Amino acid sequence: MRGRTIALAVAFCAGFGLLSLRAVQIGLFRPVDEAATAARAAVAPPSKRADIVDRNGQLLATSLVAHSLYADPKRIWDPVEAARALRKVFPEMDEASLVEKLSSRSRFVWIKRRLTPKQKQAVWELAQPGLEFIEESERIYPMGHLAGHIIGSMHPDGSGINGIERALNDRLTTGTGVEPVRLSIDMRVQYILERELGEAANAFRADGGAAVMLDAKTGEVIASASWPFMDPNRPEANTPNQQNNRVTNSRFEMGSTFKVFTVAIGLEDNIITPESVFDARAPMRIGSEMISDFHAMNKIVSVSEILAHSSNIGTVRIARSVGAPRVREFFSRLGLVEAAGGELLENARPILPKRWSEITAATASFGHGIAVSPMAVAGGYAAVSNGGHYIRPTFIARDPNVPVSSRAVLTPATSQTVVKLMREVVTDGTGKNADALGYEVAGKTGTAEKAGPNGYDSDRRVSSFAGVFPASDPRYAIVFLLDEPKGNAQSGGAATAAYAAAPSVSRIVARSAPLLGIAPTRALAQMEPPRAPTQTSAPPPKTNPSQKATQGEP
Amino acid sequence: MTLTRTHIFGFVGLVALAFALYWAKAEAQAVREKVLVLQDKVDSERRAVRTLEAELTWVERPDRLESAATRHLGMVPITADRIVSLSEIDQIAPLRAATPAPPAAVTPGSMAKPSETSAIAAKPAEPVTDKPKAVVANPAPVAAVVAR
Repeated sequence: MRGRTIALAVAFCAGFGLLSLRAVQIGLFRPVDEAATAARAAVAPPSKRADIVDRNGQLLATSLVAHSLYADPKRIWDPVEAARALRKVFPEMDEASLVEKLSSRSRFVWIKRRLTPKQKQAVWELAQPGLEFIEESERIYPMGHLAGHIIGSMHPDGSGINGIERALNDRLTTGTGVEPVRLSIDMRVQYILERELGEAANAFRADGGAAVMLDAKTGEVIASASWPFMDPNRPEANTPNQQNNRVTNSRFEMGSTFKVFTVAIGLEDNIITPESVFDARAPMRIGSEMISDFHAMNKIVSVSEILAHSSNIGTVRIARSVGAPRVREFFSRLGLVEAAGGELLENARPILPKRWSEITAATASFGHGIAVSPMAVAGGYAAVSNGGHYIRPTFIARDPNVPVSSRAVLTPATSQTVVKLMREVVTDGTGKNADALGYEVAGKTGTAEKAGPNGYDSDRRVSSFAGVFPASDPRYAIVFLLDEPKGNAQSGGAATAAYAAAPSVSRIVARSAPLLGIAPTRALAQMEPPRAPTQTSAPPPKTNPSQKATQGEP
Repeated sequence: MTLTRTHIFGFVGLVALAFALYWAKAEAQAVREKVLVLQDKVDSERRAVRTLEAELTWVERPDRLESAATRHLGMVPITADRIVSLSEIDQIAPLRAATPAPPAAVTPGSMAKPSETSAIAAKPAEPVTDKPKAVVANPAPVAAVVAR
């Protein structure tokens, strides 16, 4: 009896002893993980994908939590009643198929993905048992189609389809996490660019259009638009034609805008001066090609006239005197022989002559037989006008403290001369419609016939204007292009660059330069008296018809 | 084996220790739960902020602002001829001859050589009566519509 008591006591003591030890171990040695919880909470954002903002911090893409509606059919009392109730919120749904879904045997059927807050509240107020919400992440682009091609869009599964969403997918999902990706785009300028591009493309019933503005000193893309536009909020609704980013992913034979590059080589190599003269009296033959001028001057022309009146013959003569190897080498230094689309993966390589003979170099000198993206042209114009430094275009905002890497293509003196000649194109030549009061646009028009099955087709054209502003110290390069514009009544039937592209450039510059902080360069004497407030809502002045009559062709 | 005082104290001590441990543990659990609740609140606040930010951006769309500013305020994009530098103001909008302004604001020096500050200071006291000649004197609606 006594032995059993002792045994029991020992057993109890051992048991309680173990429990006490365990209590001590738990109490003292197992860490309470509240600190870890708080720290994790601070790091983890509500959604993992980083926001995208413009250069001023304007929100372009963000991830929100959306509620999706599903049903648990087992808990539905009356499928027909539930279906009718749901149709009050979602009138577009079919009652029969809803009833079928709600009476199925599974425990989970989707009713609708990603409800708006209003819809969610309405479903909530139905107070139907068996209807449940689940949280999902949803990517929102609050600016709609603005900069749609640059930002890109997302698959519902969470990967990028195109644009920055695709190109920087890794950086957006991992990386520093909460830090938004800051683009170089200025949405105010982007809006102006898209508005003008859309209006011009509609007015000239173009097949497509592209416009891009670059900061010539940093290579940052300030605005870039491709028409037809694309709304990233509805990736499934965008046709492949809409999704195509024509600024980086389409290639065009740009035509006369290339003449600026050819003249730049001649000036840089001291083969020509602005006053040098060339014989443009008769069409010239190179091999089997006959080269003539669209707007024949039939005289001896100077270099500045070659640009101002867009003489093919004169340009070819310059190209022949510098030689094919040098033309090729210079074009490659200008970034014209490589894909120039910055970070975007929708980035087409140019179509180049298979071999650079005298003939191909001659045609390339005025922008034929070589097809590049509008972005490449903008990069080239930035390089020849910013003092002669080629900078690769980028869509990401640069840190102003980090020096920009560039390669020298021209001496600053040549660059100045080129800008001066481009300014003459706008003041005296084919580019008059591109000038913007106070902001000194300099540039070159280009109207190129498109290659068809039977050679070049005079009815299908690419009309473009490439230029820089302000001419006194070029800061921004701009390229504006319409693909196959058709003449309209307002342009007098013309769809050449002087009518289809240049006026839009003028309006874009006039509206965006004040936003970009460029002071207008106007003498006081030219100042118009201020308009009375009642006149301010008048439409912007249209081009004077008599001024049009004096315009040259391409 | 007899129970000594030491044994009794030791036992009581153990019980007290066990209780203290249990109490600390329970307290820690309560705090942890509170943290989670707060965390949840922070998360939902953050979400609400993000949603509101997205909505704000949506209502601040440039096309919407432009049409609203044009329709309701009669604003138009600013043109180059309405921008002048500070140094040109005197030429465009010369100060009118010395009508005595409030004595405190006028010293003989500032009237002899009008500075920008005196131009601004003198303006309210001296309403422009003739047809305004210059941009600065004409409060016509001038705005860059999409400026933020």
